[in-house]
Amino acid sequence: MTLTPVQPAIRVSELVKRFPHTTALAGVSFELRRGEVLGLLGPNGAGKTTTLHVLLGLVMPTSGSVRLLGADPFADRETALRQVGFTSPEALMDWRLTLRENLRVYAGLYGAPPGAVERALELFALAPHARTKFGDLSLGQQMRAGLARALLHDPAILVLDEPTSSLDPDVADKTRKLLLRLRRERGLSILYTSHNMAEVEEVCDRVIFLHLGRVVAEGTPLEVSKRVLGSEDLDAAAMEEVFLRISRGAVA
Amino acid sequence: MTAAVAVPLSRGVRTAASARRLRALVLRYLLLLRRDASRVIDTFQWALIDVVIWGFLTLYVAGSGAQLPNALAIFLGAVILWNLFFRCSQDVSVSFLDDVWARSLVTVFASPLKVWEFAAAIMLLGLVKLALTLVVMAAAAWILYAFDFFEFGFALVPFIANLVLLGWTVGLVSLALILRFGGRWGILAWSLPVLLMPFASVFYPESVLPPFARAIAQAVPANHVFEGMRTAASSGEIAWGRLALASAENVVYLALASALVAWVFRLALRRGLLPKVH
Repeated sequence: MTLTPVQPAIRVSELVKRFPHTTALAGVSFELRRGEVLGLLGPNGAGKTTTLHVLLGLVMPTSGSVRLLGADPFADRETALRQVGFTSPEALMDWRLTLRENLRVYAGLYGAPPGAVERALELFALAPHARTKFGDLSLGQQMRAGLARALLHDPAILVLDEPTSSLDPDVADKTRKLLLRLRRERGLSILYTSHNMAEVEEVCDRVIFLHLGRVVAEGTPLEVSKRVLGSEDLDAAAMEEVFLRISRGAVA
Repeated sequence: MTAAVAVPLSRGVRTAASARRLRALVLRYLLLLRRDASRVIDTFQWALIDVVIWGFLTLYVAGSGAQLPNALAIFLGAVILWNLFFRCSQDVSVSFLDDVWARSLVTVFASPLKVWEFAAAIMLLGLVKLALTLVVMAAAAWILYAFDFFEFGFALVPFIANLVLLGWTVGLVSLALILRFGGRWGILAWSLPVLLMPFASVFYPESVLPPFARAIAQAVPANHVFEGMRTAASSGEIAWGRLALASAENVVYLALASALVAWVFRLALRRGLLPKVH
């Protein structure tokens, strides 16, 4: 890989995705800037998951485009996806293999450097569970294992779909702090979805709210709060209220 | 501020990366074989039962005075070859079902893995398991019935190669149908290869088939393989014409099955099927 002038980590342009009976995305555009944490938010059915699946080359858009550090995941998935680490409660590993075995497989798929598996296990305090079958891990451990997998190959971009949804408050807090530290140390760009507005307010530099497949609000959490609520105060309760108003169609 | 941008990789780097991903997937399935006892049983149990049952049946038929020269070679050889075909077919489709059942399809295909690499890995795995199955079945036939499957020597290679190609073809078709219509069609992994059996002339010559079935059998490469096998067992001659026909059909069918998988995969991307297969 070589260095060339500024590219956003992710560029999504006029993304439209129509399924036979529904339109999931109706012209979504946004950018994930280098080194930022961008919250992709919205109620169920807003189009978040479809957006993530398009970014990961799993669902082809009807029109529009996505670029990961300038690469198109549909034209050149190898160049595009080797830059990306991804985790989601829906994206599991093989339950019959141990955690270390699973990570070895994904290290091979992503071309992770030697020693990456052990480093990832240490990073997420999973070394004591390395020989446990993935299916025997608790949900929280599986979630951390997903994060360890996502970071194996030292990606430039992290796509995190509700990364703390199964974690207890203590581990969730530690995980958020770890992610922010990694962002700082490695210059990671992170696309983050969550229904936990306190977490969003803590972690995200900017947020995008989707509703019915469209971007209905975008900016820093404070900017969005000001626009939707007309309030200068920003806290978790304010973000929660923003979410509720958008979900109920009060913001067009 | 400057930013890293993903620059297209050279051909050499891509080839090395493809080989690494193939290794990773084969490693995964081999680890599964070690970790999942049910997979080991599935791999060997039916093959062994077939050898035992057909061995006894052959002894019974041979003892009843039926005019069947070299019956052991005809029946036990056939059952071993049939199992090799079935193994190859099933390994392709069940390996895909493994990801469906583990809900790991999204995780696997969110990586830089390409669909042809996935298919190639599970086909390679099939070869490894085929070798294991062959050794176990041949050993059982030799120990139980003093039948030496390898008495045909190198003549076996083209027969087995043709059955491997046909197994991959049927496995790829099953995979494509499961991806298109969902995991509930997983039964195809077991039933699709069996559908070919009546036309494959595994245990009887194609001459006993009615005319319409005989016409269909001409288009089934396994029919030529098993006919050729019977010729070799009875006269010691290799039916090169049959083998050539089987090879030609197999090449065409494998190309068509590969095209079907590629087409269904693109359809799956357009319709968002990959994250929904379960």
